[in-house]
Amino acid sequence: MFIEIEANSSVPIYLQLVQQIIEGLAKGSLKPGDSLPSVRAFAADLGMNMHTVNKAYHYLEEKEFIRIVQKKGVVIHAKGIREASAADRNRLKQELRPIVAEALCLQMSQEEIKLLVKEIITDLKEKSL
Amino acid sequence: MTAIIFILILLFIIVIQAFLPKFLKASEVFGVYIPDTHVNDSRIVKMKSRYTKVLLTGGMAIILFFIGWLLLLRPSDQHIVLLGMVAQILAVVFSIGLYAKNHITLSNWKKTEKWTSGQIERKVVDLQFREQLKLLPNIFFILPMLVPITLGIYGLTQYETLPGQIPIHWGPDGEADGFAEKSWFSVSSLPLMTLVLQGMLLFFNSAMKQSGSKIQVQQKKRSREQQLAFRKYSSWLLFVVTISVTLLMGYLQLTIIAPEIMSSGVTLAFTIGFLIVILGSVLYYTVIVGQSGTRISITTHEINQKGVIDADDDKYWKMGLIYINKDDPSILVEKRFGIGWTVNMGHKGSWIFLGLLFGTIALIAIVL
Repeated sequence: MFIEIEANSSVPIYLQLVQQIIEGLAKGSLKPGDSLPSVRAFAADLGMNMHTVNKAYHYLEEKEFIRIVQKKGVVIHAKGIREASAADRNRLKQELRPIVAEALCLQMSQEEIKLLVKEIITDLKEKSL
Repeated sequence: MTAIIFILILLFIIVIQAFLPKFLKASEVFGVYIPDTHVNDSRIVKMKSRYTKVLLTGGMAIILFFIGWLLLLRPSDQHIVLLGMVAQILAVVFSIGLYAKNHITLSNWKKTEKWTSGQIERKVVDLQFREQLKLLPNIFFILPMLVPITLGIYGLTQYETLPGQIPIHWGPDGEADGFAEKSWFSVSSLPLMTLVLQGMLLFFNSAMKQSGSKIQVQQKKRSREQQLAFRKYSSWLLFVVTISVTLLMGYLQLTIIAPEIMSSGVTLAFTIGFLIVILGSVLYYTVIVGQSGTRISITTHEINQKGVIDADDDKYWKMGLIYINKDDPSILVEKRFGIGWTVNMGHKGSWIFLGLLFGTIALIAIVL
């Protein structure tokens, strides 16, 4: 699976890495047990600092999307695809809040927001890439 | 014989340098990153063909001068070696000068006309690249080290029977022409040098495993396949060099220990065989594989993304030749102008490696 990073984007690089790996998982391009490159290899491929990759991996590890095993490498967590726990649900709610707030400022109705979410879901489920 | 070898080497340098742009990525011209939108700029195409013509003309002039000097003055072998070296340096300086001129002109065009502005720069990583990378395992480079180690120890056990003068240099005709006083060091200098060389090649092979992939955003699948092939062939080339060096040096060390097996004919055959194998593999690597595998044709269906180009890394490439990037953990990176690899001077490992290499060479030169 390919990952594409924009160095000049306003989204921090580590977050771009995180988002694309999660998206890969949602699309099914990545599956639990699949291995990811080591921090060093990933940073070399990006030509960027190892801290950036480390930050992304720790973030993903905290959310239980990947498992970092000393010496064996980095793999997609067995629980990468799971039923949302109460904590997961809470976190998502927190993270969605500013986006929904922005949508309300833009005078979008509940129906429109629902439609937007639906569009994104269809897009992710089309495994075109 | 000396003269012919020099002329062949000169010809080799000039032809490779002159046609180099044909074996490089279209997106890196004279060490400058060219976005897809400008790859077919007619000025660039013209610049490349002019470079080839000028370099061939200048190079041929150097060779003709060299041949003329040989025919007119019929110099001694020593003088041929000296002037041959001068001619080689001249050819290299000439091509570097021509390169630098083009590099600067091209960078200026790119800067003043803002070739990359308004486009999104993207870096691409394939998460499975390392899994698909098929380099030779390091053991292929470690096992040949047993040869110089064994021969070194064997040489030392035969120390008493060896002559007082130990050959340390051989002429192109296969006859030893440089000698050193017999000592523990001069007897083992050849195996030691072989070990240094083998160590270097082993280092290259393992550094290549860690080197960052350079996948192009508009040709992701194709450039990935080409990269994988390029790296596999690079690893094989290193292996061919390791084996050839081991055999040649091993043979020479045997002739020191047991001079009776030595005949200049066999030495000559070994040297010429060595040259043919090395030059042949390099030629194959250049012409068939090309830099980053650009000569390998692969057909894929790529989705064209409008307004997206590869990330511009020019700031890390001094004159397009020297790579300095403190953040990049790669020690070895693919060259921009040339076939093969170069070190990342922003990495501590490169300095340690270069220090060790030159330190050992200097040590051997001083002690002998």
